[in-house]
Amino acid sequence: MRVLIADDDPVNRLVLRSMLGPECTRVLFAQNGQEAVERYRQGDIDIILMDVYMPVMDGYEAASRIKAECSDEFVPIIFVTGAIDDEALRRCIDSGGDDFITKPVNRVILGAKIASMRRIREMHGTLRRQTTQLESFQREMERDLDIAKYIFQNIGRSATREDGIQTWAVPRSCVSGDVLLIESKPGGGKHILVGDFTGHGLPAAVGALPLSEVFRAMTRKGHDIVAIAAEIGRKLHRLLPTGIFCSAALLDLDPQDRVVRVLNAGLPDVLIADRTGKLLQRLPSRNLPLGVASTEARDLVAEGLRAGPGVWAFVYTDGLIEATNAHGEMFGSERLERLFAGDSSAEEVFRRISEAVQEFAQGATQHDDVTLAAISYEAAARLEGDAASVPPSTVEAPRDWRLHLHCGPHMLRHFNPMPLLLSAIQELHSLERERERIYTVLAELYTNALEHGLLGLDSNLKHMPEGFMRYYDDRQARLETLVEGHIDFDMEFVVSAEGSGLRIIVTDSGPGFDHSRCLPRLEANESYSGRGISLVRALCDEVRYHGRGNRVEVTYSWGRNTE
Amino acid sequence: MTISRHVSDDERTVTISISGRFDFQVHKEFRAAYDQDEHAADVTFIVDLKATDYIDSSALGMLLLLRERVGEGKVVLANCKEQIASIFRIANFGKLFRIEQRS
Repeated sequence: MRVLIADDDPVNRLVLRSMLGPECTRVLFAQNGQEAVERYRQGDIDIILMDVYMPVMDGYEAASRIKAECSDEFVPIIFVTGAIDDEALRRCIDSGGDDFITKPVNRVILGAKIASMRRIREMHGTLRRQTTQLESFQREMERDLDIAKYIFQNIGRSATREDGIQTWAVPRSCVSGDVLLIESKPGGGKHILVGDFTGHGLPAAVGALPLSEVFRAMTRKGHDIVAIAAEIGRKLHRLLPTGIFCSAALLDLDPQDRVVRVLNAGLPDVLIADRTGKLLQRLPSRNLPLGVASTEARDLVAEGLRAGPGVWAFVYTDGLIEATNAHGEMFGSERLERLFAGDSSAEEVFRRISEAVQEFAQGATQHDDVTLAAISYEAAARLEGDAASVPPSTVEAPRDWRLHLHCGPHMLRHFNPMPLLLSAIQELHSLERERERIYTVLAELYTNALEHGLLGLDSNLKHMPEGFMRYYDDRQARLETLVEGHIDFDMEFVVSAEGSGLRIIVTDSGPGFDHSRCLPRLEANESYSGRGISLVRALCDEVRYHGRGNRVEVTYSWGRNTE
Repeated sequence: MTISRHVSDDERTVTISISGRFDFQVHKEFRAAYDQDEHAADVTFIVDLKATDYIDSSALGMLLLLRERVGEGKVVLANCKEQIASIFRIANFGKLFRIEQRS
């Protein structure tokens, strides 16, 4: 410890120094208050023993100046004074001193006081370090929250009244863990997702990103809410740690079918009301929240109900019914359902709910994010606008279409035509189950046309261990130098004995093969195309070769392959 | 909000009791209550919620972690009050845990 002794009397200074214990490793002197302040400013003083009456500047003044300059450091000052009146002693503390000791100084008492100040100084130092660290953590956290806020704002456009959805959201802190997404379906109608992530802030935003991307992309491609929920569930299960999941409800509002389908995975009952605000039905959660387990579409349950212009769906997160009042009571589902009296309108009920919850929870702290969405089937499915585009007879997808894609050398060198073809079919037909199989068929036919028809590769090489790498190097080399040739795809919707389906014809400009000779060997699963064509044969109703073997025609029907 | 742990005489059952609020604050203690049973193979864990009056989604997460740690079918959620039971119902936790009333 470095001690500063301020006293105008040199004898006193020496006497004090002689009383100091071995922990006082360095001792400095000041002859008056002014010098004391200057010495202090030079730095590295751990404790000051201050005399009161000194020329130039007295101890009180010096103490007060030193303390003013202390900022966040704690440098204890012990006054050494001959005074015994209370006022003078009080003034020692008032002027900034931390303690006093009266003359004649008792060595033991002085030692005790110094030890006590030292303890306090250490404690102060620890506290200051912790505060600095906390402030730094706080800044980081605020930055993370800003990022989370940004993400949440950008993962989806907000639902508006034009969408037929009214929302009321009260986040618990500045960033909510709840999401509300809305996306139009390619054939008309909407998908809506209301989700409640465990946690808030950045961890919730991290989950919200893949969730919203999958929701949007799959809706646009024409997927079903069951398939979407399964995919979201699998992704969240894979990406997020155990214990983080999203309780959600997905709604499918379909104008053509006049149906509302609801998949409730962990939210409280979705409430269905009529236009007067009367409660018609409850749709409880029948599924695990998304991300708890890896899900297949067949494990999920969605419920449907007939919908019409007057039907409303109320979706809310548990923060609403768990909102507590000042007595610790919860708002509860009974109080909520009582508001569905059927004596006004659904919009009025929506308004009443938000008012009632706010009034109920007044004065109490909010524990969880609250989200409420009131969805009008009429407005959301937008029946009026789409009336003209709805097919007159049934709800089937379009039948009279045909697609032709011609791929020349440049296309073949640089692009894979598969996604293009597949999404074209997808846009016209919602074929969740069939999607993979159709892709398999198309991919096999394309591979054969390209690798054998145009590039002239020997597929036997592909199936030998040593040949495998050589095959692909060869393929790459030949593809890069392809300058002539083409592959044509023809796809057509057909109706056959097996049901609806596709006729796919793939034609390549290559030399073909002697299909009449090879087909028996195809049957026996040994041929130049090997496994590929057998698989195609298994999936399709018919496989036929034409011309010199460079044109293959298959019929794939979707009735056939369902389990 | 306290967690207590009790092991049966035959060491085949570990009961973890939670009183008060079961939320994120007790996360470390809850984990400590089962973390020591690393080598136990045939042990059933009973989470006794008799005295629990509140759970939130982070508690559901903690139960999932317990299940992941000790294995499917080895965790029983016992003696839930009605409010807690309805939260388990909404989350369909009956598909993952045995939910029972025990003495």
